[in-house]
Amino acid sequence: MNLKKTYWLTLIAIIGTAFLFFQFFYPYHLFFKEQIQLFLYTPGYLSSYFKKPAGLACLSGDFLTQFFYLRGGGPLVLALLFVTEWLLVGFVLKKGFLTKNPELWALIPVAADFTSHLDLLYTPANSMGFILLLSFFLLLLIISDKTFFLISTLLVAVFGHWLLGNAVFLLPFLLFFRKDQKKPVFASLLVLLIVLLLPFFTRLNYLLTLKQVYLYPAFNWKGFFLPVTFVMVLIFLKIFSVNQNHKAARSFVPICLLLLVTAGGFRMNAAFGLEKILALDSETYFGNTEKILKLVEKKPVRNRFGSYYTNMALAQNGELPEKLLEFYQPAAHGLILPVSQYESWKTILFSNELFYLLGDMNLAQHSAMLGNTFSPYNRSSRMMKRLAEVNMVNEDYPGAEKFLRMLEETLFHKKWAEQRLTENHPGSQSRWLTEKRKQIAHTDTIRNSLDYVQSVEFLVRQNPGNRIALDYLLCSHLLNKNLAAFKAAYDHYAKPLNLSVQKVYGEALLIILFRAEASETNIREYNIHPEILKDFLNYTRNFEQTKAGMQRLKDKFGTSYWYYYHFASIKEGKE
Amino acid sequence: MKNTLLTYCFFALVVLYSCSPMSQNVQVNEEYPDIYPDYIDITIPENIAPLNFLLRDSVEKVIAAIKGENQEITVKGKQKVQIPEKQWNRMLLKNGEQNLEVTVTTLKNGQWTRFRPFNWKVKQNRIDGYLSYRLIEPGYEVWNKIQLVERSIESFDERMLADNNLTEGSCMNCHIYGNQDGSLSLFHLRGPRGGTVLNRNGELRKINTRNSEMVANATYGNIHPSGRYAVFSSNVVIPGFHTYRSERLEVYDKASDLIVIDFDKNEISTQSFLSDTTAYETFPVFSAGGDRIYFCSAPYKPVPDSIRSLRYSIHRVAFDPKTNTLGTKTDTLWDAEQMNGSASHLKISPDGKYLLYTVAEYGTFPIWHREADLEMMNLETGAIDHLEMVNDTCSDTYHSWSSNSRWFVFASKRDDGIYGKPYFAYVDENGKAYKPFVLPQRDPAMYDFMLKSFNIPELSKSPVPFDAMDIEKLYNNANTETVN
Repeated sequence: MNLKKTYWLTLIAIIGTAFLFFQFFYPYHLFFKEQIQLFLYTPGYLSSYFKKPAGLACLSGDFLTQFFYLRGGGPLVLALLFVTEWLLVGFVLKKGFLTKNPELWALIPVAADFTSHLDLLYTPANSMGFILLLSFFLLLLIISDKTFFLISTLLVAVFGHWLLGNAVFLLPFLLFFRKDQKKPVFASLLVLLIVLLLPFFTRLNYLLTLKQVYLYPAFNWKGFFLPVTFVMVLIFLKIFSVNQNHKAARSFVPICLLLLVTAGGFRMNAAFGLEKILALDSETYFGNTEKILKLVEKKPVRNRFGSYYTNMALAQNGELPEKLLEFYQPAAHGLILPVSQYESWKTILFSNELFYLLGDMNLAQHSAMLGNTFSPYNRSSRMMKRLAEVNMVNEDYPGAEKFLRMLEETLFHKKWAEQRLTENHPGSQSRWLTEKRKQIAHTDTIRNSLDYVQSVEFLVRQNPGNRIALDYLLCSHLLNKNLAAFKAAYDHYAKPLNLSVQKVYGEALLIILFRAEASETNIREYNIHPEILKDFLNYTRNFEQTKAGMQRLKDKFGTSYWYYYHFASIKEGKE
Repeated sequence: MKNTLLTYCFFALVVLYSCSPMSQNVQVNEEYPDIYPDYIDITIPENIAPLNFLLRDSVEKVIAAIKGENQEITVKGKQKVQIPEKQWNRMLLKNGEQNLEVTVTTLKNGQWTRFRPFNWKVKQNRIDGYLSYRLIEPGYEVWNKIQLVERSIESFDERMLADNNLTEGSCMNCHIYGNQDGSLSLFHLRGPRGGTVLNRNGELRKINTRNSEMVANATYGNIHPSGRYAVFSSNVVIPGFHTYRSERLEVYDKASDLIVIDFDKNEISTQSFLSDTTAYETFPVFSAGGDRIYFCSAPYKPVPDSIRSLRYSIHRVAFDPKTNTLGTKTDTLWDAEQMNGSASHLKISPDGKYLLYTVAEYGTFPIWHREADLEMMNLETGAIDHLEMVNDTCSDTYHSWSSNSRWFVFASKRDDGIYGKPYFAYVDENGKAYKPFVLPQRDPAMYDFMLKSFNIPELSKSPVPFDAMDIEKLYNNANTETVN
């Protein structure tokens, strides 16, 4: 195989691996990264990037992040970024450091960046900083005049942090380890001094803490994985530069390093558990109820977030009381995600989905506003959409217009905003608005923001036809094993609707009626399906026969409320 | 060749003709142009920054002609009118009190339209040159990023006075001045190493303004004209949530009392009737002469159950600055039950003539009350002006006076009902208030894309002598003084 062929094959392999991995194994992190940003095509917004460090890196990186909105867009952007990095690192190594096998060595920083992108807070801005720095360095290498080279290098050092962020810290290393130079120390030290001291002295212009100014645009130390890996590569190349034909330098060492960096990067950044949650979250955002149920059936997500999205999907299908216990339920913690200071920004951001679904517009707005406020960039396209919708439902047209006007200045939410703007007036006959307005409260009360049961009950009281709210109220009592509250709420709100009794409600009612030694007429009033009655008798018999043998009952009655009632233990806390 | 040249000339003329608003090709529209911000027929001080605006309608070109007594400025833009600062300042400062006529002409779909001209009445009564405010997300009594900002009203320059990113994310609130003077101000910096930051002639002190007898931290306050004292309410603040549509949040006090702090001795004083549980006292301010304290008070009611009937009246009590003693009797200036409303945020004009306050239907947190409006009481006659020219359908509150008592600033949510912005209103020598206008910005679209509220705008004659760096140092390194 000739070199050219290997070159092209490597290039295709990088694109293929990156695209396939992020498309099929990690797509939802990328969707979510777009959802927590809002890239506006306005002069004010674009120029705001240069009020902080890494202006150019962040501007170009965020520009690319908006394409994560498209299915396949994120993986494609990342694949192209990795290929660009590989080509640039290859050029830099070939031109300034080593002539043998630079393509293989160049794969190592690419692996570091690849695995860094597994972290939710790592953005293309970091990759762009690296790419831009290498591009500047390549331009510097073209300069033959020593004075001009020094002046240009100093300019890159001085403006580097402002334009590229933490990537500029690589510059002194590149200068120091560069081959064919007689006195690398002076220039490197001078540049090192500049790049280290400038952030210290300029941080207050940016209003950043010391840690933030050195990390920028990264949020945490993990963002240094790529620069540190690249420095490591330079050091290894320096070590092996004495004997470039050394076999180890050509293949063994770079392959080992590549494997090490890949494994280390995966260990540090991969969050497949979170990917599952983000899958459910994004599919909820996209409105794919069936897909959510398929996902949890295929790979159960046994935490409160998994339950939260599953329950919402079931409720939208009208199946919550039918299938509630077919899925993992951490008591009532999987019904509603609280908006409190003890929760992470992600939880707060997720939480508005249910309030909106229930028709509690004020709590949905509260949650979306805080979701936006506490998200990493304090401007989330997804929260803007939700805030616009909530204000439209509440007939707060100027409020909705505020958010729609912002979304109108984006590339991918523009159409959505334009459509909504046509509906944002009192005479709108839009179906979704009419349906949503049916759910909302028409009288006022003041409640504690964390008393969700009270809030849901208020919605049901306002509109007994709000089946989703009713199911959440009843299921909340059941999952908390508060049978008295369940019975009271059922008799008050559900019984008058004369609906057929759904599975968990029937099972719970039988416990209550059995305990109260209710008469046959009384039981008949509830219209409980004979099959449930039969199962109840069967369960009771088995319970007595097995002397409350949990495992045997689980096989047959594991998804019944009777089993949950007897064996599920309720703990305080999140899960 | 000659023919080609003629053809080109002809086309150039056609293009020029259609690209400039000649009197023959301009349609006249008798309505005002749909501009943002609403700067139609307003009264402005001569030291205001250029009133840049944009057209809400999507037009291809806009030309604004601003005609003064001896000068005219013509500004062209695509959709925005951004007036050159130098020309603007020359026009306003040279000619003194005058009427500026603004004519807007737009090009849309190849058609030029001239709209009905509107006026900017320039007053030689200047407004204080600096405005400080807090930028905060309207986030339901929680916050993430907060900045205290000082903006020059005469230009677009702004400066960060404090940024909570540099102080461990702690809350900071209520930056207020004494005598509308930048060398006398204070604000509360919360957080583990926080305290009330007092600036007296640039000397910064960090004081824990809560002693063991107070129900909560010092909250709403005002500095005595001497600079020695400050009066505060100490409020146990609770947020509650409405269920009905646009009524978002209700913030109420579980308890609130009044105290006076002597900053020279670090001592707290009060009167038992101002700090017992029979009433909620809040929003205290000194009179212009410093010999009285005005405050709001409501009789105790269980909250939130009785919140809709909880209404605050306006009272005053004597204060002797020589002995730091409060009077024992209060006068009622504004009876909440009679007036069928609830008063808050009292501000006395520096000439002592007027009391400006907010009236909401009930409660003590008007910023989330759409019906909250400003009212002005003439303290000499007791006459009340409902400020109809000033108020709007959304919340209008958080006001403060300019040192010459001719202007006041307030936060209004009139644009979208969610985000507060600073508006200025002129009050003439007869006490008549005029239509307000929003703080001008270099880019008039800035408010459209901003996700923060301008909170507690306060005017001052001079800039404050500290910045965010000083506050970071104070937060991290200075010892916190205590009060007894």
